[in-house]
Amino acid sequence: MASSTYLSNPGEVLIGVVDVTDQCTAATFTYEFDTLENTAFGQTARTNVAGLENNTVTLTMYMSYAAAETYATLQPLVGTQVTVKVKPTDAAASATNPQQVLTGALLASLPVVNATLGELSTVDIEFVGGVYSEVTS
Amino acid sequence: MTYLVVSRRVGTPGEEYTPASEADAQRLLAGGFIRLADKVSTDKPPKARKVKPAPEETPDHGK
Repeated sequence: MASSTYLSNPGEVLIGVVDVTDQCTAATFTYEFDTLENTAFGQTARTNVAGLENNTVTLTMYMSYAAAETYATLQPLVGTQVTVKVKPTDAAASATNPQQVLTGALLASLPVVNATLGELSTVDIEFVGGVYSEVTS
Repeated sequence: MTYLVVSRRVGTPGEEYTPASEADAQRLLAGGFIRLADKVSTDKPPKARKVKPAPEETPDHGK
């Protein structure tokens, strides 16, 4: 049995300066490097080295067109770079509650309407690129 | 320009908000997250109109 687990419930999701935690139902923050193959003759297995950072944050959010809600937050940001922050819990940032920060990530697209009969409208958005950092204090 | 927080998504409603940039401020204003603080008038109140007293009627002494 796992000795420590985490119940998914991020305490803070910030897009720029706007706290969208209460509109967000899923968040995946991926710290990633491009993989560059450097395998050469004579080797028996492929090898790789890290290239550039290629980070992404994907969020699923309830859509709302009311003032100061999802649409008002996201629509002006399409095509611009913004800072996205996600923290595992709402406690202060620490080594065991590290705030993940992606600075200068691009929001390239936004599904401005995603409607299905009888369901709450949600949108999946992705922030790409940007510089990753972690805040632990 | 002085801005006040409207939505708790960007702070405590009613408190002053300091945007990172003018572009941020315009975006947040348009989205209804913040508003411009009411302008406090520094104009002096208008002076009261001077009202001339009506001329007193002179009694007719039967002239």
